[in-house]
Amino acid sequence: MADVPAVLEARRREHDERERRGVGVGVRALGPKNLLAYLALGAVAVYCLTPIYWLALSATKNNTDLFSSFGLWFAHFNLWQNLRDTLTHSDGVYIRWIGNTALYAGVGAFAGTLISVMAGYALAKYRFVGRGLIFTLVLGAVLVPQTTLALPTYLLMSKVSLTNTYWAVLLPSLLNPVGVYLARVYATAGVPDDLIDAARVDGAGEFRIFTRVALPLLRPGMVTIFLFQFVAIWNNFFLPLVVLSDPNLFPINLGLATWNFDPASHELLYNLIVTGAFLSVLPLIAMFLVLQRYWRAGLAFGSVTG
Amino acid sequence: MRNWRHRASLCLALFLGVASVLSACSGGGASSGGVVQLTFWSFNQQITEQADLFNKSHPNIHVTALKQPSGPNQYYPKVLTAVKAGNAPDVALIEYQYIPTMVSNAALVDVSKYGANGVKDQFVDSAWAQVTQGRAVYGYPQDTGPMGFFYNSATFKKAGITHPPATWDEFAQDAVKIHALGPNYYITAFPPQSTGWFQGLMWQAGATWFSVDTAANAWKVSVNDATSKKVASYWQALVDKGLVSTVADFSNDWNAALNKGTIASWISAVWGQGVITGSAADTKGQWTAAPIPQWTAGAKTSAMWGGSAISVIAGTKHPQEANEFAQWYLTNSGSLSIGVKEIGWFPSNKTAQQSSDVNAPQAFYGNQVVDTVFEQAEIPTTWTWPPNLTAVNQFMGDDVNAAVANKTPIVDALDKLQGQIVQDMKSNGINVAGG
Repeated sequence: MADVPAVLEARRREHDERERRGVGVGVRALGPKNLLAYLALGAVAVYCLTPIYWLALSATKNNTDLFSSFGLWFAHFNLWQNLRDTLTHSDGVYIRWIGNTALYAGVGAFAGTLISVMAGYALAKYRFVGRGLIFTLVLGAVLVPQTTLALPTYLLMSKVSLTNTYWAVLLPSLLNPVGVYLARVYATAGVPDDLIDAARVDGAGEFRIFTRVALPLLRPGMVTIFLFQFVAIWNNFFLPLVVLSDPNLFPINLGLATWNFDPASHELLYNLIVTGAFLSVLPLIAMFLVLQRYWRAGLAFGSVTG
Repeated sequence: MRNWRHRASLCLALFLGVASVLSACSGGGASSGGVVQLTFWSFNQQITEQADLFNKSHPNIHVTALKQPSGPNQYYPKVLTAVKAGNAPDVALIEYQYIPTMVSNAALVDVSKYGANGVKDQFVDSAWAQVTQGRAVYGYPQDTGPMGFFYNSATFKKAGITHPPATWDEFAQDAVKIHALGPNYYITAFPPQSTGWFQGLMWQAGATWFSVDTAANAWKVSVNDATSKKVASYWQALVDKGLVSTVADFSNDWNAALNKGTIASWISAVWGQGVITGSAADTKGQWTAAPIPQWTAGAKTSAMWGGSAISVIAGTKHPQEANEFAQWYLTNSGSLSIGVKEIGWFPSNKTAQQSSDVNAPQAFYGNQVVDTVFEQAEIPTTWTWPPNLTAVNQFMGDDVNAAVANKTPIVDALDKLQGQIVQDMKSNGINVAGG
């Protein structure tokens, strides 16, 4: 029974290999026909990368150059000083913020993905009373912006005395309706009913089927959900703003906001904010590059039969 | 066969383990061993140093200082939500302009019953006026932002101007001379979105946009009175002739223009000195501070842009101790010294304002003792902030900005603003007199 996923795994590897060598479907040489497409894609790439380029460049400037030098080219190279100052300002609280953000995003996205996949799998593969209603509710929840839930969440947290703790950010981050929705689509398309039936015939329990049969098949989809949620938590500003008041618990974005200009202070920390922001996007970029392969597979996953 | 079960329970155990560690490190809140626990919110740096100092000399009270993100759309909603949920800090920094908004949300404790008036004389009158409403006292004035005139003397000299404009008439004449240096040269910027700045200019001219009619127990709004329209028309003329830039203050372009000397002055508050030092480093030694230009020659009338109070927040279980900390924070010499030297306050406390920490010569300003210029400012105590400041500033920024962008009269924007503010107050259940 354990051989079935292995066969699929081998097929996926073969597909990846073909793709790597560029012999897959849809890969064509540059010609006049798709020149336009390349130009359009190039424009989009420039559009998306320019802010990152600006950020990287600005992280090398001191406060004055930040405003007085040309924005898209180097001035005095001050990167090392900026890095040192960012990491040591206020007793090195930035390092603590990195740790917090990694914890919120890492634990939140990991546990959240697991919950999403379990829920999505159950919705896709089990027939039970209220299934349609639950799925409709999940779809409805997709439409509610997270920001609007921050205040009610805060009031709830406050009732159970969890405000200003790690839990106040972690718990609400665990639930991700988009993730449940995607997981259901992936499970419907990617886990054949026959396979589950075969496993049942072989005497596997439902949990074993989920962990041993469904999860390996859903891995690309899980990476997609994980990445989406990781980025969402990493960037979430309003929820931590409302539920946290101890700077030692802040994620990076909230922490950097406390360095923002304060009229009563004579300290201008723009260069540290920019450097801090630059440092904070590096893990995201690294994660996307590392997981890109799975992610692409996940996006296309289910697009045929889903 | 039972393998997964082991693994699952191991995972769960790990998760719960991490969880309990997490909740263990998030301490705070509860009082222990007879010591009263207080929390203090501010968005200033170095507040923990001041709290440590207080805790050392007050064994029965322990203050935890937590630095919060600043910004009107972040800090005040956060404080108000916390008040609503019943876990607000005991003491918090509140900018003067937000005090009536906080009071109308029942978020501040009147500290007059804890003897606040006993220390009234230690603070400058204009700052004390900002924390009082009738007989109630809603905090202690921390720092203040008297307005003045920072100018780039090199650019002024190039334009043949030898002394800073003493009146607004002179200012308008100097504007012509400076613009004659080149099309990019402006005496200053008129930033249409900068609400606090424009309100300061109205205040200086003697306008009182908001006031409380105690007999009718209602707010009076006079945003479009004759004085305000005089100020609006004055700037309108400069904008129409292209003599002032309309670039936003604190923007990249504005910073760059200050650094090049092409925007030659900034009508700003005392704290503006640090901003110029930071963003116009290439012009070191060229800047000078002078009193703000006057409507009546020989007067010394100024206004306030910025400044904040330390208030006791409603819902605190220990108002007495919270008041003790708030009062100590702004009257203790050690705390004030940290505030002035490390945070950078221009203190409302008279003794601190006269100290040598404040009145030090500034190398960036050619060794001028910049602060002295601002100490002489006379600030009318008649100006009151509205109970719905967030809405007022939203409307005002939009209206003035639209007027400048569409080249429609700014005085018309004030008429529109008057209607919007009255409307907003009414829809929020605030009594408006004659509305």
